[in-house]
Amino acid sequence: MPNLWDFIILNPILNTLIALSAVVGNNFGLAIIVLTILVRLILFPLTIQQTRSTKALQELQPKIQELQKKYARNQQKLQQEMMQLYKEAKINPLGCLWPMLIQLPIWIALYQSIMMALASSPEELIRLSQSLYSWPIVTQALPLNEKFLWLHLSKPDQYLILAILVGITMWIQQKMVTPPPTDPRQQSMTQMMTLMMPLMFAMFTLSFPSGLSLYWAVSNIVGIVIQYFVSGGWGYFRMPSLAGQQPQIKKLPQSEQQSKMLKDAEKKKGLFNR
Amino acid sequence: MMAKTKALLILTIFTIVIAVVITGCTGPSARGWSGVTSSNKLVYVGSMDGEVLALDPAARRSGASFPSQGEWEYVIKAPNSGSMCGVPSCTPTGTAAPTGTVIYGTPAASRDLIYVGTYHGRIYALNSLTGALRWVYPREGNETVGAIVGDLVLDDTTIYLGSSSGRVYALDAATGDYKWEFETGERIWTSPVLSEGVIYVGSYDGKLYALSSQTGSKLWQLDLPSAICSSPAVFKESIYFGTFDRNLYAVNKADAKIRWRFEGGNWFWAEPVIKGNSIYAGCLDGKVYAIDAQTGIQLWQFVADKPIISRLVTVFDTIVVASEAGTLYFLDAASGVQKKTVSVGHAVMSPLYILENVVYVHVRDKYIYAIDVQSGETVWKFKKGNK
Repeated sequence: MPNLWDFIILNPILNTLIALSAVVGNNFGLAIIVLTILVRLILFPLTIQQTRSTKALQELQPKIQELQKKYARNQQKLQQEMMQLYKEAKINPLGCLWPMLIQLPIWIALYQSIMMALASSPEELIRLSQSLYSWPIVTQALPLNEKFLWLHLSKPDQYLILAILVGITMWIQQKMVTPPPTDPRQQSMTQMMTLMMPLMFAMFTLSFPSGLSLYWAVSNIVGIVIQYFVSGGWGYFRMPSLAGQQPQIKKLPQSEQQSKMLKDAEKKKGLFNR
Repeated sequence: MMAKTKALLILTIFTIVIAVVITGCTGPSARGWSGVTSSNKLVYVGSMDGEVLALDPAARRSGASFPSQGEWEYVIKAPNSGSMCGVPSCTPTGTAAPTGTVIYGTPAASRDLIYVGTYHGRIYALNSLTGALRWVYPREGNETVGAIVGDLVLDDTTIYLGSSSGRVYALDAATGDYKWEFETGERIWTSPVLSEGVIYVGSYDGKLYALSSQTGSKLWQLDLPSAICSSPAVFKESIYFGTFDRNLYAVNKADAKIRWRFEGGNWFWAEPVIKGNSIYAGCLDGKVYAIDAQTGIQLWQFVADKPIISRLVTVFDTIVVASEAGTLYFLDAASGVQKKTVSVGHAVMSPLYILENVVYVHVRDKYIYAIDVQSGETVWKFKKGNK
């Protein structure tokens, strides 16, 4: 099984990454950036699909809450009604997760490729030799130039710039896509998840090779840009200074709120061909 | 129900992401692969726990406890580095053995001193009989010359080494005083070789350099299409080495002219060995090639079970080569026909060493094997802390 994984996914991405570093002037940092953007673009249709499913699900939230209130004491009926609601709206509640699942192997392979290509120890370099194609562009690109801007890509960023960048960009990205929880019970859980992931990755950045951190930072930035254009703005992200201002949508009565969301969605139909 | 399924899926994805992130840095860590050398009837090796061990073959054969009379160990501690804020490190400096440094280069032995270069970038000279520290370079505790992966090379008065800083250093062998350095364009993970007052060294900048051993001044350089991955071997008027483009080169010592190149199926990582008019080279494609030293024409090839990382040895008409799978092949030097095999059970990445018809193998499970070439029997094996 690992060999199949290597053969089909890991090795093609790894060799492309190394070849790319030769194409962009023996610059592995630039190759990481270019390949991350390329992969993001290739996976763009899946990202849109995921965003659409998420948005559609969010638009149904008022109705779901209504049902939850109505059938608070009858869970079975609640499930039936919710299923009916999803059916009528032609929504698969798990639809937003499948594109994410499909993308996951590619991200894992890209991540592994960067780790392997950096080959920071002699043992890793030998391991790398077993995954390389005999393309001259690949063999001549080795060993990769690990210097990029102020970074030594196989060592952590000693100036902490990447740690801050990774943490902030990941936090922004998560805030953009995470709706404020309507259920107070979920609030602390959501807040923790939104804060924990960026914090953890920022911590990893302190000790992991900066080539990997560069990939995380670029991936987050591209994710923010895509999210911005796909959802037509900053989504649920509000700068701390604006935190006091409630989003306008919350001030509206539920029925108006729903119709506003649908109108907003209609506006974006042309762009994403819904 | 659906909400629960969704929450479960999100949790699963989250767990996968974190697991992948963490396991991403658990590739093969830097453990070192020092080979064995000998002097004063002792054999010396850098262990995978950062110790320099002096072993008495007679004591090991008798099963005496370590250290017996005349044997010693010297522990080289790793500097504190790598991890920040308690996060496990993923980089070379953080992958050291818990307490000891990492040693790749085989110790170099003079009459009274043993020299060891470490992956943490320091060179130690120890008394060969007692293991007492004679000198260390750089002198200050927090300074390094850059990670040392290749062997140290020694002549009567000077020790030469290449480092990951891309520099070749020459130090006074007796005192450790700095003599000269020469800067290349990339890291040096191979060993320099000394021949007739000239140091030949390959760098990852894709150049082979010839330097004066007295002054470090450059005599010539050869630009290659790919970086040099194996230590060069010098024989008569030629230098032989492997490159990342899967070729083994033969170059004239005098004028740096390429005489021939031979293409393998992967890198020639291990330094080639020359005997008679033949070159024997282990390759990461899992083959041993015998090549005519004059013409570069293949004489024979032998297919092993795994890549060959370690340098092979020759004994009379036999070649002993170890694969990454831990199989030692005893081959007929003339024909490449397999005479016998011995398994040591774990990967072999360290160069083999031959002494009085016994081949010494430092295996990845930390055992040092002494195997009789004629019979293939294990004369002794030793791992510190194990009987």
